[in-house]
Parts: sequence; C-alpha cells; structure tokens
Amino acid sequence: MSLTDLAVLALLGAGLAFYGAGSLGLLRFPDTASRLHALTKADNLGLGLVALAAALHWGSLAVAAKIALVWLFAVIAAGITSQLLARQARLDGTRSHRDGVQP
Amino acid sequence: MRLASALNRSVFFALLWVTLTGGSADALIYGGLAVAAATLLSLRLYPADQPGIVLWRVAGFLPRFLADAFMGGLDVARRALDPRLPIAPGWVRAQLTNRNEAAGVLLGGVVSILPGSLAAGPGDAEMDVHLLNVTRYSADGMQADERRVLGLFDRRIDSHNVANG
Amino acid sequence: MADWFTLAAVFLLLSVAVALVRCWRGPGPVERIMAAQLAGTGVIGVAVVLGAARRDAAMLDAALIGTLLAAVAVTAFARSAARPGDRPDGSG
Repeated sequence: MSLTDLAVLALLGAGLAFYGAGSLGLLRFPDTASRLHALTKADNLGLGLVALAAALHWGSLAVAAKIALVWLFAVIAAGITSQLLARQARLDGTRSHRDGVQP
Repeated sequence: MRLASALNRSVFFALLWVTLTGGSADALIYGGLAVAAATLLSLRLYPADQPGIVLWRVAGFLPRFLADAFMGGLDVARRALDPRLPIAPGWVRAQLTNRNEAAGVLLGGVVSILPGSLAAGPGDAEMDVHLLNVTRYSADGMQADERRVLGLFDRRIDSHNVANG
Repeated sequence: MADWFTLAAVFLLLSVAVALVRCWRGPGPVERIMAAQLAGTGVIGVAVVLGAARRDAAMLDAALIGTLLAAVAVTAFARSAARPGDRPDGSG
C-alpha cells in the first residue's frame, strides 16, 4: 500500500466519522437549532474530507477541480439553507412561547 | 461600471463552465449560451451598482475559513459523541454595524461555520445567533467577524447604508 | 482501493438511515426537512465515493445536481412555512 493510499484511507475514515457524528447529533441534541449545528458543520466537513479522499485517489487535476466545486456548492448551499431553517426554528420557538405552548 | 461587472461575471461563469465540462470542445457552444444567460440573469438579480465581492480577497480569506470549518465540525462532532452531551444551547441577539442584506447573509453563513454558533439570517442591523454553549458568547468576536466579511466587498459598506442601497 | 470507497458508500447510507429516525420522530416540520437535508448531503457523499470507486466522472455531475436540488427544496420549504409578517421578536 502506497503512501497516497494511506492518506486516502485516513481522509475517507475521518470523513465518515464526521458524517456519523452529524447523524448522531441530529438524534441526540435536545433542540431544533442545536440539531441544525450538527447538520451544517459536521456533515459538510465530512463531505469535504470524503471529497478530498476521492480527489486524491482519482489523481487528476481536472477531476479534483470539479470535486472542489461540488464541495464549494454544498458549503454555499448549507450557509444559506441553514440560515433559513434556523430562522424558521427561531420563529417556531417564539410562536409557541407566545401561544403559551412549551416548545 | 456596468460593462466591467458584466465582463467580470462572464469570465467567472466561463471558468465555472470549463471546470464543469472538463474543457471538452464540443460543449463550448452550449457554454457560450449558458454563460451569456447566466450573466444576464445575475445582472438582473444582483445589479452592478450593488456592492460586489472581490474574488482575490476571498482567496485570502479562504485558509482561515477552511480552518474555521474544520474546528467547527470538530467541535460539534466532539459534543455529539460525548456521552455527557456537553451543550448549553441558547439564542443571543448580535448587533451589527450595517444593514446591507448581501453582507448580512454572507456574515450569517460564515458565523454558521464557526465553532458553536449558527445564524438565523440578518435582521435590521442585528442578527439572531444560536450558540451551543450560550455562556461563551463574545460580542467582540462577532464584531471582528463582521469587519472581516465587510472587508471582502469592493467598497465601504458603513452604518449609513440602507438595505438595497 | 475501490472496495474501500464502495464500503464507504454503504456506511454513508447507514448514517443517512440513522438520520431518518429524526424525520420519523419529528417533532416539527423543521426537524423533518433537516433529516431530508442530511439525506441530501449523505447522498452527495455517496455519489462522490461511488464515482471515485469506478472513476466515473458522471457521478460528480449527479452530486452537483443533488447539491443544487437540496438547496432549492429547503428554500421552497422555508418560503411555504413562513407566515406573513413573521419576525423573531426576541421574547422567546
């Protein structure tokens, strides 16, 4: 096994660990917005590491650029959708407070 | 000014196209159409007289952003995996110095990548931020982040700017 | 080496399956759409690793489309869920 293979495996393993932690956080965290933290940060880092492993394994600069683009779009999309969902979680929280219902 | 923006944006979209298609020659004609359409649409959605982002400044921002993204993911993963679940979540309302919507959305995205904080979109010169540990909020840190994000734009966006300029 | 990437795809699908428990339990619509978004990120990961396993660049196109569609889905949800005049009032 070459040094590149080892690096690919390490990156792949770390990426999967972050994906797993993201899923676990979505299950374990007690409130909506905290769960959103797990989704936004852990999963996109997981995707980034997995993408790095894929690019390294592929060994082509053109493909690596495309993989980088996949990750970049995912991060930009997450930056916007997480704000939309957080705003919704915040609204739901104030709404149930106002209506006298415990969130 | 409008022409320069159109030119800048078409070069950007053209680079995007070449990356996506791997520079294949028989896709170039479609690429020309797609780039023209994308440039027109982008000028319509975000007119040239709005504050623009300077790409080389973004490049300078990138190493720090990547480090933040890594620390942010590590922090939340550590908390999710810890059997004691060490979080004390809560909301704070951060005061911003500007009302520009584009800068606010960009700041919200950056804040959401940082360890422990998540933005609920910009409001009127303020932003609701959710923290995994609400006792660790730093208003100074938030102000520094805002200054850094404002520095990515091609002109000064100060507190007197109103939304939609 | 390709086997490792295929194995990674299986693990990613498992982690998506775990997240779907949150979709089932809810309790609110935001939780359910979050689980759907996590499934989106997971499937993008699956497309990237399967692409790497078979060195098939078409999988990357699938991943890109998946990214963009997931973003559109969440935006559509946020627009449909918002009530007119809704704004966090800080009392909550």
